[in-house]
Amino acid sequence: MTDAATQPTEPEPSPGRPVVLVVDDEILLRSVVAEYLRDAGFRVVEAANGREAVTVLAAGEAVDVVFSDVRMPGDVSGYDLAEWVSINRPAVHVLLTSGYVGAVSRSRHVGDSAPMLLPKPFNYERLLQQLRGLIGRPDTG
Amino acid sequence: MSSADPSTGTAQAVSETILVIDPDILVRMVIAGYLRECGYAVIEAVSVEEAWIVLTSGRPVHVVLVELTLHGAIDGFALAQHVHQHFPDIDVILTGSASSTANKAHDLCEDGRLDKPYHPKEIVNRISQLRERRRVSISARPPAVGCARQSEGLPPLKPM
Repeated sequence: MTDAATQPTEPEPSPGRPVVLVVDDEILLRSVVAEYLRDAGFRVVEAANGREAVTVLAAGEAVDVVFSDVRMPGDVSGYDLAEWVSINRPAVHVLLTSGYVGAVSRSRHVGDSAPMLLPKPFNYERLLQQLRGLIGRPDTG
Repeated sequence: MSSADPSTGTAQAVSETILVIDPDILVRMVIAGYLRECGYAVIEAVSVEEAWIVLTSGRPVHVVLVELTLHGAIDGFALAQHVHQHFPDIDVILTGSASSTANKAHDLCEDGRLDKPYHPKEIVNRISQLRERRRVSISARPPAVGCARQSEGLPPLKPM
């Protein structure tokens, strides 16, 4: 799944609100999480699966952090997505989430380290803390 | 969220909610972003099946914006009929292409709150730019079958 083609130029960091790409095949969860993050001050792009997320990132859209489910239908899992990001958009942070115990205990290494994983069900405040910690911006207001 | 004021037909202080259905993430993303900037709350769905989950969840939806030629067992027109039958208070706007979707989004913005008078052509140009960038950057290997199209084993559309 790794992209051997020309690596897109990393866009400039978002000068205003940080951008989160939320990736989850469960629409109700995806839309609630996206709405929560928008209210918290993030700009949010929503993708229904890993392939859509790759499409957005490959198009060069400014994204600061990807928040993705691990297990999704299709050929691109959350770990596949994290691997793609580490190769093609290394400046983008990745936070994965899963309700599957196996995903937590068997988190695989992507690049030099395992991506961060937030188990489901997660506390929304904890999610905010993790995202803000990854992008290094304590407040998104 | 409250619905539009029936006496004026305009969105009130709390936004109306538009459900945007489009299997093309780049189109959906731009249209949804544009509508949010105009003051609408937007829920994004990739398919008719996702849209039906939203509609039957109890979340308030005031308008459905859907492409007529959606792929799958149920196209946009059939969805419009289902919505009309089960949710008669929800308006359905059918579009036939990215440019017509952009035009419809522009119309919605003209009818509701409008802080920035975008021309719909700007939206179409933006979509074209994203698609061109994607075309240049993707690998030679053809992408796998789109995950957005869930065409097998779907439950029939029916209200909860």
